[in-house]
Amino acid sequence: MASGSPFGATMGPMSTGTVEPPSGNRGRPADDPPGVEHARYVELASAAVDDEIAIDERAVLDRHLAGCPDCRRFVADADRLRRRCRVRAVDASADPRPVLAVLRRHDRRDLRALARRAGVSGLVAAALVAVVGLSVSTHRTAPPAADEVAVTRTVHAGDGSFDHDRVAVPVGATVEWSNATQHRHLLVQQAGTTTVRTALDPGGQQDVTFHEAGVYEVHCELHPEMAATVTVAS
Amino acid sequence: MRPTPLRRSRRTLAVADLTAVALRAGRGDDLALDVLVERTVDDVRRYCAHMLGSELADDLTQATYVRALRSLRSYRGDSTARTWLIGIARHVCLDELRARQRRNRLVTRLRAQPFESSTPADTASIELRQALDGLSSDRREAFVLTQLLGFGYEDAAAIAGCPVGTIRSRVSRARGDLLGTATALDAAADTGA
Repeated sequence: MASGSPFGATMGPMSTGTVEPPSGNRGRPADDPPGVEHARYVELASAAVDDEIAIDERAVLDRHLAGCPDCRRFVADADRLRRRCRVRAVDASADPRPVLAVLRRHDRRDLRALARRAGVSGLVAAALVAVVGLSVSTHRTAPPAADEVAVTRTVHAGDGSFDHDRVAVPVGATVEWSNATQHRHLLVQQAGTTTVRTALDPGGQQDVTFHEAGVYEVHCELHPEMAATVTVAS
Repeated sequence: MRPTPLRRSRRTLAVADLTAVALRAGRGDDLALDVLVERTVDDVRRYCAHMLGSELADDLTQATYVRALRSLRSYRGDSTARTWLIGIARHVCLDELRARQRRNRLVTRLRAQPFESSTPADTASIELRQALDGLSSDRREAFVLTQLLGFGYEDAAAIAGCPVGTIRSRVSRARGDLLGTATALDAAADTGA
């Protein structure tokens, strides 16, 4: 990686008084302890290219650039790369029609099946985080008993509450916790000695399948005012 | 933007603030939902393509909107609609990555799997893609969000769930990694690729 980079190719003795080793990982100054100081300028230069630099930092950078041809070159290269990326971004265009067709074709209340059909396998199954307890599983692939009806209820976690705080489902049903807020939620679902914890990232969603009857008290460990009850009837 | 004839209300939505469009879609306005998809699908697909490769991009895009539609009712405009949607796309991609890692756990013991790349339209973007594939996923994401999708550092940090300074440093390092490849890209572009 170092060989093709302008840094690797051209970085010579620095004219800024920064001590540089005579050779080595020049292409990756950040990994090079004596180059840490220089890496800081590279970061400033990079931020400056995106116009994401504070005024006082800009002054520091300008002083450095005046004496450092390598950084001036980095700025020029990074700026060219930035413009190339922007141009390409405008060129590319995706067709909204397939998405619209799918969204239209389906009843909005029955989107779970759709997510499966969307072709991304295991999307939901993989999303579980921590499960404690034998009677509850978050595997969508867990084979349901032949006489179990696959029931799914979606519950949205909002700011401070759930959109359904009393959910009643049969044994074997899946509750799909969905989080449209900007905050992480940590759901604790408890019935007797069974506790299931489900972490919900912002925008995320998790399936929990209840295999055992009981009244599950649900609350968010991070937002205690959020509470709900899931009643699982046999 | 698109050549299809627009009804008046659609034309209004096409220039309205995207967040307002999303809020309207959340109240059950189907036309607003259409416009929301039309105006964001490019960005969502590009994000997915850069995170997981373009063969999967259509499916991931689809899944992103399905998931977004579910949460639309509770979207309150705390962040812009674009930031919110890319955040959802990110979750869809991460879920898929985790699923893939799980599926491949045995396989990867036998042979290291490189990041799967595919066949974009033109040579120059193939080279950019290959260059991006060589980045660590953190740096790639920071670069894609800020350079290809045009998010500011603050929005990118909100999407990636990290401090702004982390985005700044990742972008800088991604650039350091890429610039060797970028010179090759420029040469390719100059010869008409």
